[in-house]
This record gives sequence, structure tokens and C-alpha cells, in this order.
Amino acid sequence: MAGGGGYGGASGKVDYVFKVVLIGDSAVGKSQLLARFARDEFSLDSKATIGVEFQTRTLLIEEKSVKAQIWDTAGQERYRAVTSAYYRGAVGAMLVYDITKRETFDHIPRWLEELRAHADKNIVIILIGNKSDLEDQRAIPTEDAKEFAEKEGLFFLETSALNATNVENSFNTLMTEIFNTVNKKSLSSAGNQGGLNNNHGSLAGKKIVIPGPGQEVTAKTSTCCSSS
Amino acid sequence: MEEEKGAVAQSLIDVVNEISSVSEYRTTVKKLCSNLARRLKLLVPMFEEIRESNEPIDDDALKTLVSLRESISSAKDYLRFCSQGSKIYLVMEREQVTSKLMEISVQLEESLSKIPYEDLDISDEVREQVELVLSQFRRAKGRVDASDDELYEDLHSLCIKSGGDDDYQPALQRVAKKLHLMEIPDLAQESVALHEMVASGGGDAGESIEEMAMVLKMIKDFVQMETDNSEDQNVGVNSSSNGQTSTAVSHKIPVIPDDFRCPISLEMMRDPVIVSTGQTYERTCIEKWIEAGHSTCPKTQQALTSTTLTPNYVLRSLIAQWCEANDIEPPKPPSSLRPRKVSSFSSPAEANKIEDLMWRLAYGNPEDQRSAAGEIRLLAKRNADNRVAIAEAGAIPLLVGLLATPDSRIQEHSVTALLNLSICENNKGAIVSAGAIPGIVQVLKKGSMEARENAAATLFSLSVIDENKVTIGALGAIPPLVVLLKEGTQRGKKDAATALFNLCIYQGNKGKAIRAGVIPTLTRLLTEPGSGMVDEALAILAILSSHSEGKAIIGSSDAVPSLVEFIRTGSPRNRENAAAVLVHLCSSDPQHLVEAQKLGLMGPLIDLAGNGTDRGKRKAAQLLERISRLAEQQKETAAQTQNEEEAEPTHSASTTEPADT
Repeated sequence: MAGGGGYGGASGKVDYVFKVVLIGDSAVGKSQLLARFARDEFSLDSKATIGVEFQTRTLLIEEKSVKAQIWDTAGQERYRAVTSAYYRGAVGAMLVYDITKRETFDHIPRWLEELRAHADKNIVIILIGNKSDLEDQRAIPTEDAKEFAEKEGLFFLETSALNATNVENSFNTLMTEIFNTVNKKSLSSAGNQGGLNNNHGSLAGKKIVIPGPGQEVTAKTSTCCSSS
Repeated sequence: MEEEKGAVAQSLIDVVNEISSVSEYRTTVKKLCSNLARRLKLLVPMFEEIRESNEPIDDDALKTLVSLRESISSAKDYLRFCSQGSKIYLVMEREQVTSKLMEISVQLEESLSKIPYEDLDISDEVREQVELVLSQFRRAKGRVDASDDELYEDLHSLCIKSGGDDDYQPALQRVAKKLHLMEIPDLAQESVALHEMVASGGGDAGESIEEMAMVLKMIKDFVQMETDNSEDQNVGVNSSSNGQTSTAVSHKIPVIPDDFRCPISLEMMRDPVIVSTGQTYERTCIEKWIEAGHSTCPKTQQALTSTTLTPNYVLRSLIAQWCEANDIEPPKPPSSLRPRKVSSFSSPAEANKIEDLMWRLAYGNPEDQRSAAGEIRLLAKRNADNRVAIAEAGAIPLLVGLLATPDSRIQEHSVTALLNLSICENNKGAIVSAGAIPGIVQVLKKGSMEARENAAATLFSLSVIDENKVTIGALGAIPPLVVLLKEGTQRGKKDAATALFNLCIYQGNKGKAIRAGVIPTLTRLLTEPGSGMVDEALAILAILSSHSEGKAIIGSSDAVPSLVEFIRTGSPRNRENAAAVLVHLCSSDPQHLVEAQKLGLMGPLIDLAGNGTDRGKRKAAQLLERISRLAEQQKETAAQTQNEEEAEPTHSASTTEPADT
């Protein structure tokens, strides 16, 4: 579904801007996922993220030009400076852990809690197990994560920012899902809501029903978003 | 109706107070913003009189006040942005920012000139003051701050480059320095400020902000690279983000760190020595090299200014520790302690003694280390030759290493030994480049009282060199010095004060001292009977008063009466310093001048202008000039109220005249 959209500058008009936040423990590879997605880069000696950073990439989804504005934040406590503004207006979130580090997965419920406390309750969330290239050091079986994601109603994929496995796929999944929910909403409310051309291009305050799982995605249903 | 007038006046006061509480405008817009804020503050007495007055005011007049409030509160929002917003944005979009500030000025002037002053129950004095503010607003039209073009160009050039070559490093360095984006918290804050702009914009960030984000990222990478280099193994981020290597390594034979290998033989070093270029080699290798007739450093190709080889005890100790931790047999120490060929020691016996002390410092148990540090402390105190010899023997890095020991006596001896060594001019640089400052700062914070005093004295001694002023300030020495100035013994206070004085000569440190709260302590020392610190306090205040924040805090601390008193009765030195403080205070707020005159400044000032020191005379002349200018200005304003044509000093002839006549 989602496809196209080269790297580099935004050219031409943009139909939608979707803000997505990356969260998770330090050193799980958030910034590397972003660098891989936004610029197709991977750096072996990357530095800790300070404060917040963002990058964008424009994708084509169903012939619409969709700009992904992806925010990345410091996982390390001493570099953090996150305000509630970090989550403000975010319509998607990537919750990242490192498949070789048990504790980064154990902390996922905490991150989820933070997300649910600060972000819009209709935010689309994907759980990402990064560093799948380190299969020999795996500490978290795929099944465990899958089960957790289903229980919490999250999408789930394992990725490797290093060899680019599933990175494109995971962002596309997330963006397409956001796109669909926004579109569905705008049709049913007969208004062209969502998208930047209509002032506050966010989902804030709009109720969204998340449809079933996408093809490559293993999440079950929409428990997280339809409850409450 | 009556109540509403009071409420409007009160809300006006509240908004202006909110503006006054906004501090620290970004340097690039500092002048415009602080002028704006200062003018608005001058309106408060009028609002107060309106609030207190019993006279009712009519609806139209009330409307003008309400519209003024709107203008002021939009000014407040923008001023706040100029204080907390993204530094990078404020520079890169300087045209837009300046024109927005101008627009705000114009709007304020318009709202102000519409107020029917004659219908309001306000005193002539307040009325005059408001006229002054109004004329300042008119004059300010079209006046733009001199801006830092280099900074602007640098930022724009960084936007174009984005990777590859290294030639943008100098630009990055300048930008990071000028924007005060050198430390992690500053960078984090800047990133949040940029993020706020995007988040509150609620949609597409726009290319310009994306560019700014890229530039910020470059600055971050640059700063982190610098800190990594100085912090070395401490960070741990790199290794943990790269899980492969760390785990893979632990199964195999540990890899010898490159720094432990001699660049010539590539073997682990047994007796590492430093040559004059700062590189370290295995002694036997470099000796062979030099004996073969070479006079360059093999690694850097630089010429060797001397053939002196200084033992690198720290590295030797690190290698030994590492071997122990990895279960590897340490390389055998050199078989004998040969006397050095080149040495500043007067006798071989003495040389051996110092050599022995070095060994004890490096390898001894805490007992040994304590006594060795104590002996070095005394030797270094005795004479200049010893100071050279001890430094040559490589004591400085060892002593620096010991600053971090939990043993408070060792700490005290080490810091004092460094103090004594630092008396020698050549050692000052060596101490700082051995990374001593963080350790000294730690002692200053947590050491015994005597250690703290000596730490402050060491910082004083090191800060004589200009470069060191910057380094010491940047490494967080200032806040603990301020604490010592406040709560130390008499000696501690003196040492802290002299160190602070030296440090604050560098402009960039002034703000740090001010934010650490030095001014209230200083003004207390001025007035405290028997503090014995008046000379120091006045001297520091004199240099801090040239800083805009310093000026503001001194101004609000009610220091004018004691300053006038010092001009009247102080020592020659104190008279000139007190006058210097007053010159700065009055440059930003003429009210202080009025206050000082009331306190009888004129007599002593005229005396100072005639009989003071050269600097005292100069300062007194400046103050006298200000006083006469102020008087003129007041006359001018008075004249203006009667006849604007004459009174308008600039050509900003406005169509909206005050509705009096």
C-alpha cells in the first residue's frame, strides 16, 4: 500500500503531516531506526541523543503525499528533556526495545503507561524489537513479544536498523494505519479533517476506530484504541 | 465602573511585572528586548496612581487602557519567546524577529499615545515619566541592533553543508560558543525550544525549521565528540549501543587498548615516557630513536623541542590495573631506576627521592600516598627549583588523579601540592591540561574546609592565565566558589573572592557567577560590619555591573546608599570601584541617579573628580556627565509637553501626538 517517496527534501505539496514519536530505553536503536528510515543511513559510532530531534520523510500513500514527521528523544535519563509537548499532536508511536537486552523489553509496560498518560488516547502504536541481526544474542523470543503486543493491542515487528530489515516496513505499517484511520474518520464525518491543510492536522480529540491488523502485522485487534 | 478601573490598572501592573520577571534575553535580541521591557516597567507608577485614584474615569479612557493592556500582553508573549525560544531561530530569522519587535514597539507607542492623560488623575511627575517613555518609543523606531554577522553567516553556511568534510568544524565551534550551546543541558533545552515551535505550530514544521534541526544536530554531534574526547571511557554509550563488540570480546583474550601500546613497537609498554610533543612511548624504543639521531616525534612528525623523557606514571598505573583486572601478567617494571640524563634536580640523591615519591604516589597504599602527597606539598612550597623538578618528574597527573580519592587528607595534600606547583608559571598550563579542574571543583564542593580554601586558591592561581579563565568557568567552578564566599572562613572567603574576581574578568563567566547568586552575598559583605571583605566585594561588583543581569540585580538590591557612602568615605580604591558600579547602574536606569543625588552624591563626586585616582576621576566625570544629561533630558521632556516641535529630537515626526496641549 504505502510506497514510493524517496529520501531527501520535501518537494511539491504535502497532503498530510503525521507526527510520530519514538520511545524506549537508551541504546535500543531509536535514532538508528530513524536515520535508516529518513536518510537510509546507519552509523556505527552513533552518539546518545540529547533532548529531542526530528526528521521527516515524505511517503506516497494511496496517491496522497504524506509527510512523516518523526520525533526522537533521549532514552538516557541524563540527556532527557521531554516536555508534554513531545507527545502533543502525535498520531503514532514506535515503542522500541532491544531483542538482546531483557530489561529493555521489561520496561515496555512503563513506556506504554507514559504514552497513555501523555499522548492522545487514539494514538496508533507499534512495538518494535530492534537489532534482529543479533540473532545469536537474542534474549527475547519473538513469541513473547508477539503475545504481549496482542494483549495490549499493539502492532509488532522485529527490525534491524543495521541491515535495514523491516525498517521501511514498520514505518509504512504505522503510517498507513494512521492514514486509514484519519481517512475513515474524515469520510464518516464528511469533513476533510486531519492533515495539515486543515489547521491542526492531528487526531486530537477525534475518536478513531482502529481496523484489523495489516498484512505483515501480527497485532490482533484494536483493544488499546477502542477501549475507554 | 470604579472597581473596573482598579482592576484594569491592576492587571496592567501584573502584565508588566510578568515582563520584568522574564530574564535573560537571548544575546542576539538582548538590547531590543531589554529596552522594551525597561520602558514598560517605567509605566508602572502611572498604573499605580490610576489604581489608587478615587476619581472615576470615563468609558473611552478605560477603553484606551484596555487596548494598551492588549498591546502589552502581546509584547509579553513575544518577549518570553525571545527569552526562552530557540537561539538558533532567533539568529537565523533575525530579520523577522527584529521586525516583529519593531511592530510591537509601534503598537505600544500607538496605544500609549491614545491615552487621554489630562482626564486621568495622575501626578505631573508620573506624567513626565510617561512622556519620556513615549518619546523613547518614538526614537527607537527604525533603530536596529548591531548584529553579529559572523554568527549569522556561520549558521547559514552550516545549513548548506551537511556532512563529509571537516572544514565546517571552526564554524560549528564558533556557533556553539556564541550561542552558549556547549553543554548537554543547554543543548537539550534548545532542542525542546525548537520542538515547541513545531508542536505549537501544529502541523508542517516548514523547511526552515527542519534546517535548524539539522544544524542543531550538527552542533550536538560536535559537542559530544568534544566531551567524549575529554571524558573518554566514562560515557559508555558507544559500547553499549553496539552490543556486538562488547559481548564478543568477553569470550576471547582481551584486546590490549591501543593507548597501552608503544606507537613504535606496538607492544604493551613497560616504562611509558612522555616526550615534549605530549606523545607517550616505551622508554627503550624512543631512546633508540633519539640515539639514532632523530629529532622528531615519530608519531606526529613534530620537532622535539627537548630530549627530556618524562615518566608517565598514570599510564603505567593504568596498565598495571588493567592487567590485574584481565588476569594478565603485567609487563615487568624497568629493572633499575636509572638516574635521568637530563634533570633539574640539584643532586642525584634528591632526584632519587622525588622518583621514590612518584612511585609511592602511583603505586603506594593510601598511607604511602598520603605521606608522599604531603611531602610533595612541602617540597613544592620550599622553592622554585623544586616546583620545576617535581613537575618534570611527572607529579602533576598523579596528584590530579588523587583529587578523587575519598581520603580527605590525601585530597587536601594533593590540592595544596597543586596549588604550590601552580605558582610556577609553566606549571599552570600543565595542571589544567592534565584535567585537574573537575577534581579541584569536586574538592571545592566536598572537601575539608582547609582543602576547600586551598582549592579556591589554586583556581585563583590558575585563572591568572586567560585561557584558563574560560576552562575553569566552563567546568562548573563558579557556583561552589560562590558558596565558599558565602559560608567559608575568612581565609576561604578571601580566596574565593580573588578567584571569582579573576574568573569574572572573562565576560562569559559573569553570567555564571550572577546566576549562582553571588550578588546578594557581595552586597551583604559590603554592609556587614567587620566583614573585612569590602575591597574584594566592591572590586567584583564593579566588574559584574557591566553585565546586564548583574546590573539589574545590583540595582534591585538597594545598594545605592552604601555605594554613595563609599564614594564619600571609602579608600581611594573603593571610591573608584563604587563609582564604577554606579556608572553602570545609572546607564540602564536613571532612577538610580536620582536616588544617589538625593543621598548627597554630588559633593563627594565632585571631590572624587578632582582628587581621586585616575580611574576614580574618570568614573566621576562619567557620572557627572550623566547627571547633567539627565537634567537636560528632563528639561527637554518638560519642554516637549509644551511644544512638541522643538522637543522632538529625532525626525520621527509622528502623527499621533499626545492629546494634551
